Amino acid sequence: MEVILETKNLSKHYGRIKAVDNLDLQIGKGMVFGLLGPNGSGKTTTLGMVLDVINKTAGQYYWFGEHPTKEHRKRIGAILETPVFYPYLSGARNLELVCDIKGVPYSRIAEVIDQVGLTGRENDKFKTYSLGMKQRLSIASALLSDPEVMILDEPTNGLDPQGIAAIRDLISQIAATDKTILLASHLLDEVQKVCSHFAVLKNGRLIHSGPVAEVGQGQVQVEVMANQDLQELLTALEWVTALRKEGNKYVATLQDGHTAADLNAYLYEKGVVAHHLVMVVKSLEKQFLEILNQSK
Amino acid sequence: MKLAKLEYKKLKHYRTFWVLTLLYFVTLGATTASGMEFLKWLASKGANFGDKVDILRIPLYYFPDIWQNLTYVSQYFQLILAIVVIISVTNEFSFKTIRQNIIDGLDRKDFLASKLALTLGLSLAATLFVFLIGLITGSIYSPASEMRFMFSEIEFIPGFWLATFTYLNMVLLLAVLVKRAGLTIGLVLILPTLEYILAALLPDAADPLIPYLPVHAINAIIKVPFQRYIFMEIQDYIDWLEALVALLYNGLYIALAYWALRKRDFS
Repeated sequence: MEVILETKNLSKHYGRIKAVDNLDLQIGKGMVFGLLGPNGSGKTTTLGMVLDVINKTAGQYYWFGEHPTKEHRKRIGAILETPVFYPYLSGARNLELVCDIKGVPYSRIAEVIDQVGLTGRENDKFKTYSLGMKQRLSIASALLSDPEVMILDEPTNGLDPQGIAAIRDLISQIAATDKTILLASHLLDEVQKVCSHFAVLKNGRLIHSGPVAEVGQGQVQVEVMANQDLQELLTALEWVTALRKEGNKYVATLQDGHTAADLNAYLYEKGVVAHHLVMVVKSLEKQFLEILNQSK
Repeated sequence: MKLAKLEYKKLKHYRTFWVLTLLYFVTLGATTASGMEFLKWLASKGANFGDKVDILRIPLYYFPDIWQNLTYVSQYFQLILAIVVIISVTNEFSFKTIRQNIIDGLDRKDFLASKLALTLGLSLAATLFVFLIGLITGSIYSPASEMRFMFSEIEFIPGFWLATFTYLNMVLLLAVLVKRAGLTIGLVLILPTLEYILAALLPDAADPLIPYLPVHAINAIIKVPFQRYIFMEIQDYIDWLEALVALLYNGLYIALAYWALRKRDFS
């Protein structure tokens, strides 16, 4: 695996407060990597350090396997919480400045403006833009250099539904190519929808890291409903390890290796037709809370 | 050069920048070019003053006197340039664009270099302007006999550049440290007063150090020229040691500004 970003013992201390503490992360090429954690867990500080706007206290990080330089940052597109531009300049002129910094030809400007749907407003001053337009301009800015890596920090914060949809579209568009995405968020379903890997931070420490796909694995839970009492039938099954009743539904936890199909076949054999049979996918949210609790 | 272009592009469409810069050149030009007319007006009004000395015969605008007179007076307008520098720097902090610039691929050294391009550009433009005013007004007012001195004492022109550049870099450092426009402008305004108070409070033993204080060092480059017209001796040349002190101060300001930027977290 080609490693795009690696941190080794990366730390940031503010006096006695350890905002980030000995963080080891590895983000491989093509990953959509979700950085999770409660507010104040060190997500933004971590991104700040790898983007060189926050000085690290200790440790090291590598971009593309090399010691970080500004040249690496030119290959990164970053969308951080609040869009930052010169208010007295037009959207297009702001993008020209970014082109100058990143060494990108101005011809890209019209393309990205079109891509985010700002055509027609690009010559208006940034300060006249609505929040949604500002956010779209920062997406355009991040896309300018056709970056190999995208960094998004709480990208949907404060956005209207349209803006959120635009960001989601963008992430899935980029994820479809072999580009790498690093996404810091506390919106778990968002991460579960788009991410291939995730890490959980708490009080600046890494408490979990792994693929999102693993989250759904392990014990299977099945919801069943039928027109008759299932209590007896289900408890009789030796591969049902737990059973509880939620309203009219029974929630059965199955042993490893057994699936909802097995359960359905069993019930059918016993002459029972289930009219509701759903396999419950363990949500990232549950997993996340479990991880947080375990770390206590 | 790329960084100078970047800084220029940031300011090119910024109205405040043009208003201030124009204000500087207009007030500087109007004041320095009209000195002779002012003296004529004074002579026509103040009969008593005119009786003692014929003030119209004071060779304010004669080559080579003009170079020191002009550059000395022109220094009084530097505050406007200082405000341009302060706004250019503090805007980057209040808009948070310095953080964005770094994220986009600038480093702190580049950022400082782009601001140094501004102080260098402004000080060079001001110097060129003062040089042209000197050339024109000197040619108008100097008697033919003095024309051969046109370029003697021209050293005050590079001296003026050095004084302006040093002053603007001092202002740049303060802006980087203070980060807020109003506060920095206030500080720049009271700094000379503070320094003169400090100089007065220093024990006599420390007096030899006074010329090396920041504001004194800048003011030392071009000495007050006007006492020469009441027959007092003045320093009518640029002293190399004083120029060297100013140069060293530039190095110090740039190093300190870099250190302050290097240390800072932009969160």
